[in-house]
Amino acid sequence: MSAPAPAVPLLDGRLKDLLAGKVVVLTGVTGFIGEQILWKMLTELPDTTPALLVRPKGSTSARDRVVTLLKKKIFTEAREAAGGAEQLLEARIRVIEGDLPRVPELPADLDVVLHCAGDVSFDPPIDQAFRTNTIGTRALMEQMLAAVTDADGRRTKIPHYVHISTAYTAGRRRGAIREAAHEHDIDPQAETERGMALLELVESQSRTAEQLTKLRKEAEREHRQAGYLTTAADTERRRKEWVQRKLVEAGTERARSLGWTDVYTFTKALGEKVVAEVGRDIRVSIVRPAIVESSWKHPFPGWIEGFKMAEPLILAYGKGQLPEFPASPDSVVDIVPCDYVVNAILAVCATEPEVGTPVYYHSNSGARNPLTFRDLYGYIREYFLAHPFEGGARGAAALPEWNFPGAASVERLLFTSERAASLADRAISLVPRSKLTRKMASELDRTSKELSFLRRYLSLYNEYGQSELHFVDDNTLALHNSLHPDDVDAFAFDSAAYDWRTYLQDVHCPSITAPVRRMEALRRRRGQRPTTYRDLSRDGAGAGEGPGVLAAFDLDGTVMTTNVVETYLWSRLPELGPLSRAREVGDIARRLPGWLRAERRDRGSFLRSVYRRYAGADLAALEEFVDTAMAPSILERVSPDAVRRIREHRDAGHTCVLLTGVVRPLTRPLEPLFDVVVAADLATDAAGRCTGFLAGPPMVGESRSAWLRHYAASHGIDLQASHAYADSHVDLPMLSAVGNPVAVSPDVGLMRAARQRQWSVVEWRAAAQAPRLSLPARR
Amino acid sequence: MARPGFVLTVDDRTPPLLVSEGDGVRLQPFPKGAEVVYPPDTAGRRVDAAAAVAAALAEGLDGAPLADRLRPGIRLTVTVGALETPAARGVDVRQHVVEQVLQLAATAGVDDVVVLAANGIGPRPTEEQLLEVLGERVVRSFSADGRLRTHDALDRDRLTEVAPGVELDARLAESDLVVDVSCGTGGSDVAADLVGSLSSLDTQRRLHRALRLDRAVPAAGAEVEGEGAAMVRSAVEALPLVSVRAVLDQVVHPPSLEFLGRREWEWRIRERATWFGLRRLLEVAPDRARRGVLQAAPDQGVLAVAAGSPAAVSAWSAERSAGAERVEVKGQADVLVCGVPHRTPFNAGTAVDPLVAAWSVLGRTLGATTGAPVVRPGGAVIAFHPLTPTFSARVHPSSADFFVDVLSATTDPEQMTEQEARFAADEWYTSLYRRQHAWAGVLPFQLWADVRAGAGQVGDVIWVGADRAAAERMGFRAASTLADALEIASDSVGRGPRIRYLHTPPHLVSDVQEA
Repeated sequence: MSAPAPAVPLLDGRLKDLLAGKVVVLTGVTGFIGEQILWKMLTELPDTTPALLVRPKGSTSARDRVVTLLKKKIFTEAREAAGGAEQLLEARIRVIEGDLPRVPELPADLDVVLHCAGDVSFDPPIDQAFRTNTIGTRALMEQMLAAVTDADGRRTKIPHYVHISTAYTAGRRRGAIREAAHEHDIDPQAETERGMALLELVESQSRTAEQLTKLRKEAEREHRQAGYLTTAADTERRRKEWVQRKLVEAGTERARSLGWTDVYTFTKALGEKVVAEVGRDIRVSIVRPAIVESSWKHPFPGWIEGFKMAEPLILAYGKGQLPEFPASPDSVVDIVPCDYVVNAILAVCATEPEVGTPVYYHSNSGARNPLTFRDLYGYIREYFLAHPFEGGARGAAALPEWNFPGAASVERLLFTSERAASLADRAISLVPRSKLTRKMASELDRTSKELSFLRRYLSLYNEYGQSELHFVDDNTLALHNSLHPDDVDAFAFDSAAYDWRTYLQDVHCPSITAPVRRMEALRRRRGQRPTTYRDLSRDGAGAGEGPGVLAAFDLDGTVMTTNVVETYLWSRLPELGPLSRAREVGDIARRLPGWLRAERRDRGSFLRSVYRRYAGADLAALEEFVDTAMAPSILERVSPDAVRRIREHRDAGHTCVLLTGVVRPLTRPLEPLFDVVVAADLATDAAGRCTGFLAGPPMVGESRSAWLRHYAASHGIDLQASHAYADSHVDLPMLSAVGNPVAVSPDVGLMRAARQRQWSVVEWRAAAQAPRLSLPARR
Repeated sequence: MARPGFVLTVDDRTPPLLVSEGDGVRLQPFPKGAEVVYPPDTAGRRVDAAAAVAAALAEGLDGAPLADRLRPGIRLTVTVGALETPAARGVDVRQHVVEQVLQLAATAGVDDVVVLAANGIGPRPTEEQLLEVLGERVVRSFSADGRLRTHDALDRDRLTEVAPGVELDARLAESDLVVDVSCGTGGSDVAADLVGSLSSLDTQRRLHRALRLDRAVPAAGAEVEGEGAAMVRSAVEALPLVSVRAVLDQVVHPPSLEFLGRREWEWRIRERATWFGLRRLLEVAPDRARRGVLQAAPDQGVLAVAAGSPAAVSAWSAERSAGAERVEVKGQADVLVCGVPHRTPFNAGTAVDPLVAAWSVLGRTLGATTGAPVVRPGGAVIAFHPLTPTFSARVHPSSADFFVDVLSATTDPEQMTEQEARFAADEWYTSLYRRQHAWAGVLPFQLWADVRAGAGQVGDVIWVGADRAAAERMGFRAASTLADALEIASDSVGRGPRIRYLHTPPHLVSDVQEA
């Protein structure tokens, strides 16, 4: 090389020789890059000892986690050579159980500390970002220094600390970025303390009366009918979400206020400063990869673990869900294959930088093999045109064509769509339930899901899509050029060595779409139906053994298409004269809006106010009337599907329970179908006349689940094996109480809950063959 | 006698003809050369019901007046059947009969009288229906002390075996005299009717083929002579029985729509206007409203009344009905086209569901002949009905289950015996039959047995305008138009088949003569 010698230490031999006999402490081995580093060490560096700092997870010890890791496909060769995962671990690896930032003592014979643990998310809560990137880094380095310091405070050796950062620590700078420390005068320590303090603050804020009231009201709007406990659980869930959201916001805003795109790159940048500061008297190298994607060659082309940055977007595009992207068509997407990053890192480990002078390396492609957004889009589009996703029943999705209209226009489009979706959502909560409503609601949900996906990814990647950063990689190239010729094949990391069309279309896309395709094929074979609606035909045989099973049914809307107001009118109107009839109907019509409001608030009080009108009715006469005149109207509206299902349960030996808020006399025609009928009992006075009050609270919402639990406990019934059928959101607690809940022709609220929880949704129709307005005759 | 029925051959001048399709009607153009069989017209031949009843009771077919058999101290039972026939406007003829019999009994000093309304496995009559059929006076004075009962085919306490294999309501066996009151348009066998309406469920299941679901059609051919029929006859002969039967005219539509039962070219201007309005109404009205319009009570009148021994009354009514229903046709057709009337014995107050529709065509219309079938063996049947698979949960509780659970597995009645037994014993169907005025659970099996027996005589059965899945489940085919149906049928009957359309309702019986 004729250029002035860079201040970069070069390699003077084979890597396996340079790293022979060395102990490399490695963090983040369970991550994407760490895993491949370990693989590379085990396969290409036979005399190097990796010492893995691994966090125990739950009841799984660090060692077990490593054993599990070694059982992965890429380690097959190494594992078989050693005679098994355990043997491989024994022979080659040391495991240090510990966690960042609570780093345990490190071995005194360490030579290199390779820190590649980090967050995978761009928008972690601010406390978490600092904990990992500044506090964690400092703790690791301090333990490293402690390990190489003897009792007298003298260094026993000078370790090499290799820090994996990210190229985007450059933040919102523009233009060429040199391989050097970024210039800024932010004090990492102070910033970290402030950031961590926010956790306490936000937690406290979330518990203020104002905030809790606000959250409770939100929860009530959705769950009030279901009862207090459901609402409370949802309030707490919302509070936790709120805390999380606030911490994320705090991070993003702090980062932007200082010139970074997000808290991830911001804290990573501060981490670099910590490294330089703590490592001022040892050897320090900092590797800054750009966007790391699947491998070009090793362990095999396309190797990738989990989804990284670009995959969700590529997959969404392939599914036709990404109509436009707010990127500049000419901005460079700085993608680098994983194995190139790993190779560069290991080469850096083998160098010996000067003490006190950190060396920076950019591991990227933008400098010498730039890929513009426009090209990326073109390659991906070509790939999906040639290999579309199988689109299920409606064929492959149409691939959107991007015009790159600019961020503002995409934002406008997104904003308008979000607005429309939220208006539609409000409207749909007001229309009466029907099959059509459900269909519209599920379409709306799909749209909203796509919109929120877009919103999330666009806001995350917006900045990257328009980045005008140009990362210089002279140090990295010089290092590559100093590779021993025999190492070039296994350790190459010159980003100009591949072409993007091949990489994207033959390596990357096939690799990341494969699991999606497998999943789709599986789903096609299995059908998408969640299966809480069980086939009961085999249950009959086992009846009588083991704990009992019950099947709980709601009445209104599930077994029968009617409602309490209608049944009330049936039972009361026939005995009135024409004038009083008109008066009664008018009165009820006048009260109806109030009742509907009441029902939205609390179904129990709604039922009470309807039942108040039974005051003065003779209970015995009411029962007689139901038996003789109303039974046809009731049976007319019973769904044959429901009856069939109830009878299947009975045939299977299950206890059938009718849980309803309607008054007991009205359930009389259905009594033969059920073993137990739980209904509202009208209180009567001494003369047998209804007082208009109930003998006990109506069976709605959480009282149903409580009843079920009590009944199950006292009758030896296994609720987990039991079934429940209901139609409205109020019945959520009842459905949640059993193992096989089924939503029957549900309202929108329940439909959404059912989809979220993977419950079966079935349609039970009742084709009443008498006009809805006909009244039972009373003689 | 009635104005005789006749066969019209469709030519250029023939207007589109009325076709019933259950809960709807349409005007359908027919291909030239098709034969259209019109039933006889019985309008305008009514008699005074009260006077006719009095005369019949005063002079039985065998000569003896009923009063002669009434003596003080005897146990008298009056059974009222044919409950599927809707009550007439005004006073029903059955009310006349029952009131006059009770009057005679009172005069003769008979104290122990029970009135028994019986509907076999059909819905037990409601109080309302009893009032319509028997009148308030009878209901009020008899129901209070339990002397007005409705037969319950599942009430083990009230059933007794009167002849081997025939269980009837115990009251019949205990009675010294049974007066059986029935009415109808057809000339069915009185004995079979009586056993059909008053026996136990088991008896009905055993003798189903001999009893026939369709009491309006005289049982034809060898079938009725079988073992079952002999059992029925011997059971009835053992009873001290006097039958009273009224033959009704063939009015099936409510007064404002009576013209639908007449020949299309005789419709007057006002009726054409009504038709126009009706068509529009049926287009926009929901199912329930359509049914309300078409199933409104018809104004059925009495043509004749007779009393006497079951055999004599059967013979008399067969002869009467021949004149009112029989139409002579020449030879067998290749393709039989028929509609589905809005009223069958099974759908009072409910929709004509696919099972009832199939029965109406293959069990009833196809079987209504004096001997030779109206369509040649292997010929095609084209019927009009949407076959929408909705069933009344109240009246036919087992039909939906039968359609979903049984028909999905097999359409062969032979393979349904196990299921049939299960449905017969089913608690829920039992409770609905006994307490909620529903058909017994075995109804769909009996309908289906008739359907398959009918379908076995012919080749393709094609439903115009039908739900394809429902048609397929029943083993039939569906077509969107008559022309398409003929196209489908052309595979088996060739191009230019001989097409015969039975213009019902009113019901008709084809008398197939050698061509």
